[in-house]
Amino acid sequence: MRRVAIPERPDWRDHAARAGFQFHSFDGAPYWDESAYYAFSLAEIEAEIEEPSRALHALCLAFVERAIADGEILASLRIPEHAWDAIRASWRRRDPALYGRLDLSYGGAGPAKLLEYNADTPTALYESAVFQWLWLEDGLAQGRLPAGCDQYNSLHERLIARFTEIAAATGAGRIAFASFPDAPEDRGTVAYLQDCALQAGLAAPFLPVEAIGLGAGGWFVDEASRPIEALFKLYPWEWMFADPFGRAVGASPTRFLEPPWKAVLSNKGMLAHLWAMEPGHPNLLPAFFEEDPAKAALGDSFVKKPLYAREGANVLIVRDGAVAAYGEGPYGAEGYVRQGLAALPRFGEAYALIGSWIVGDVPAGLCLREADGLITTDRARFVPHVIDP
Amino acid sequence: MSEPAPEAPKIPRRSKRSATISLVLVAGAGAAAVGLARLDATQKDEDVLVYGTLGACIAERLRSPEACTDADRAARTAYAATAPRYETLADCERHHGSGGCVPGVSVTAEAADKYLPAMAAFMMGRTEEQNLAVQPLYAHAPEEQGQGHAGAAHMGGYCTGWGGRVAYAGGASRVHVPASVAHTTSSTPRLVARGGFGGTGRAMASAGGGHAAGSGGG
Repeated sequence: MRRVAIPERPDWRDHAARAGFQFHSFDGAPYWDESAYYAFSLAEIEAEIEEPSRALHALCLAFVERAIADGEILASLRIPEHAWDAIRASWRRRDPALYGRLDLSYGGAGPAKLLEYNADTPTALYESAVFQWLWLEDGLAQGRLPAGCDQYNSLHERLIARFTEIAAATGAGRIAFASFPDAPEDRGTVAYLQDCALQAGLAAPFLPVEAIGLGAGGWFVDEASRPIEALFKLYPWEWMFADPFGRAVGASPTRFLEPPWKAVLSNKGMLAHLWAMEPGHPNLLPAFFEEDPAKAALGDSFVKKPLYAREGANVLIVRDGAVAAYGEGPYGAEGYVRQGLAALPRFGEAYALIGSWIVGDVPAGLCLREADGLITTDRARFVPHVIDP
Repeated sequence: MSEPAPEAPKIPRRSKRSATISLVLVAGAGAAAVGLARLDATQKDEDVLVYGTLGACIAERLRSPEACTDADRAARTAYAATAPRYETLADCERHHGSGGCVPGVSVTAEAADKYLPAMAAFMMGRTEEQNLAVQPLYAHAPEEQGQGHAGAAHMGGYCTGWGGRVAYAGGASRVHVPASVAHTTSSTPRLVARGGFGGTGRAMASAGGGHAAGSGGG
């Protein structure tokens, strides 16, 4: 794994516009950054990222199986009791999942370490699946990239195939897609998923999350008060459960993507439970709940993460007893986990974080984000990758 | 018996990437507003007329007196049949503002034990050709957020029977409304609660967790 500097295409913003990539910059700074790319060997991709991701996802599913049978686990995750029935029922029905992103610390040496699982509302999907792919194809066509380069990225094909499977398994002919309409990155991610669902033969209307209604029979309904059979929401379960309608999810015939059981995996408390299940697993970091005295085993270098948080907010990194980094934010009220420190690999001035995509239950590609510090926030830059010929 | 399967072509190394990328919705979209309009029919506007009284409609002469009279009558009929029903006066006023509600018995015997918003106005098409059904409109309490159409949380004005928002500045009768609001009428009284998702995320956003507009992704 290495970082390769390369001149960016002077007209990449035109390429982005043509491909419908509208959130390529954030606060005036580029989010899409093609002034470099990362190059992996095929062995690194398959043995160090793809297979470990498959195994980690399987371990996560085994953890869900335990969690739904054990109220103590659900309580340790600070999931409100009124949500337990919805979570349990969705798992027992085997409600299908669409996708997730495992965030890994990996720099080419030593096993990848799981930092967290964005199992519920991952973004960076469109740019991973589409614009990164277009960048590779354009680079190959123009001779800017070595002939024979590949990319670990079957996301687009697998997403369409997964929607087809979900439609067949559930009988749903229509999935409504909900997010905040005024958050461009969220809206762009959802628009892309609508596109994939359409290509799988589904009707795929958009619905602002605040326009969702609750109607007769416990159905969630759209703006015209029509029952929604299946609802994709880019709005996390912990917020759904905290909202007034959260108590209605369990009794509702409406089905959700991601299903409620994903709330068990997107919670950082899961990390402590995985370590307890598989202590010493090569792809896990030791992790403990903050109130667990066993956390002392981590010594004076660790990362403290809120159970519920996004975009690096409220993450505290302590190295050799000193604060190395802290992410501001509003989270942490529900408690924390403490995880062994696997500092992100540094390439030049940048710290690189690997996102390893799962579609259904299958590893499907990766994305790389670079940050100026140890904590990857919403200011991180998306950098494309290749597999060496 | 079916024919034997053809031999798989020999590929030296299986590609790790998608063979093709096809986009039917997203590609080619220009500026964000253009792109979203392409994606959501609900983002397109219709020109409508909003009148508090039949007299105001006739006096403005944008539609014929006959069209105004028909619209007023249709709105009153629709009002009794489709106005949202609330169990308590407080529930009703939370949506429609203090003084915005009346006992159901004053409107129709069928709603005798409920509270209904008062009909504040009616909405009709700017032209006959738009083929829009007349809709009764209700005062929308500005302090309530998250009700009805997206992105309109802080506007005052009116709402339709199902909660679609009509931004009405007062005075001007000509209003642009999203097509979803103009074309979707209530055929039955609304027994639907809205705005029950989104509040936690908005509160997190205003507390500094995520992009300025609020984001549920990560």
